[in-house]
Amino acid sequence: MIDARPGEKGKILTISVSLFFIGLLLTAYSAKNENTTRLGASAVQTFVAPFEEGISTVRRFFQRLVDRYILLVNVKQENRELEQTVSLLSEKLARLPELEFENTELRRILALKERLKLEGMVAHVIAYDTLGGARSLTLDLGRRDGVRVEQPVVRPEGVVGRIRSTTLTSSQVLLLTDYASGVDALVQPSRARGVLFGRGPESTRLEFVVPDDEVNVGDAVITSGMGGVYPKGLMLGSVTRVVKQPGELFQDIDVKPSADFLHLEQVLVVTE
Amino acid sequence: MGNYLRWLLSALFIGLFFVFLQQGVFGMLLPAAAVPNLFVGFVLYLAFFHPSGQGAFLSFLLGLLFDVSSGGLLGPWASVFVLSYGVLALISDRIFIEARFALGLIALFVTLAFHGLYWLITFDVTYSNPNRLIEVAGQAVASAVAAPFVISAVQAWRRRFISDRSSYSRVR
Repeated sequence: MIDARPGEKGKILTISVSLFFIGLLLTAYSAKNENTTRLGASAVQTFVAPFEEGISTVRRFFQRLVDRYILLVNVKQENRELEQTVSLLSEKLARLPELEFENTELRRILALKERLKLEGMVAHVIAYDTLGGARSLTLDLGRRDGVRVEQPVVRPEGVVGRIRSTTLTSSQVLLLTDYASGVDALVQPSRARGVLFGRGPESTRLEFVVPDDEVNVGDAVITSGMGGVYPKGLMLGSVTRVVKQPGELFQDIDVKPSADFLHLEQVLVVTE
Repeated sequence: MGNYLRWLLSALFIGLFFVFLQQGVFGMLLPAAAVPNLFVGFVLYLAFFHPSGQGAFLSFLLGLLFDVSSGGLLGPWASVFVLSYGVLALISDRIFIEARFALGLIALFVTLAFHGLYWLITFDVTYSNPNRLIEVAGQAVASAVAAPFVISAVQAWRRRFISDRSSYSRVR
């Protein structure tokens, strides 16, 4: 550090104070004459502007760099979101035919309800009892939904079976084809009466039809309404074979069930 | 060219460079409250290392340059600079600025005094805005940080380009 020479302090003070007042005068003058300031400012600006322009260019470069980086980050994020959307849409698209199919099925079941004036609930098949070849299946409705034992289970094509047992949330259906199944039936158009028994996965047999009744291959077999389980007129199947043995009390009649028991998805549980 | 004239021109060039740094570089890259007033360091340097009539004149010129670059009135900053210089030069032998912290502290108060004097001269209404006061406080801190570096830089410049044969001062 350097000290002022002796006697210099007074000089500094005098000059400083003088210049201070000159500054004040200049201030007062420039307050009234704006051009004085403007001229000086433009002179400095002329000197500084090119440098500022350079700095500004560099700054803009970095700003763009940052913007692009941020943009890239955004693009990455957007890409991730779009991938999720595509995945979601693909899933929906894949489900579309399924929903369409389900819709058609439900419409058919609804039409059946209206046609036969049945009260019931649509249930989804959630499991097949494959033991012995799908002779029973499980529905997603149970006691909580109003499903009771012995309620008929039907499809637009025909009878599926009846409720064998229920839990709170599910129920098991005894299929027409089960050996334990027996349905009082009529043969159209002869009105021959018999009982349709299950005989395994794909077939049933109509028994107790007397030889005098006219039954032909292709005749439709429907429920008779007797027995208190199935309403009258529900399609059971069609006759595929008729054997009349001389001396036998009843005809030997095979019936192919109308319902496709191996491809059931929705069924109507008839409540009334 | 005389040594003093060379020093004068050098100081003005440094002043212009400071204007460029303050307005062009820091002004663009930093928020207003973080832009240091480099002229504070320069005035401190002149007051502590060149306490003379010429130093006062130089401070005045730097103030004018600052006025011109700020685009406002011509004169208030010149008055502020020269008055501050005068006061600092008079008390420079009683203040020890060897420690950077002390120098920074002085720079902080000088910056605040600069603005106080400027307000007294101009009655600038912007100082009634709290944001402006925060800006001033921030600038004071930034100037305090920058002042030691500014002084070192000006000292280095002077050592390199100006000889001190004609100095009117003596080394303590």
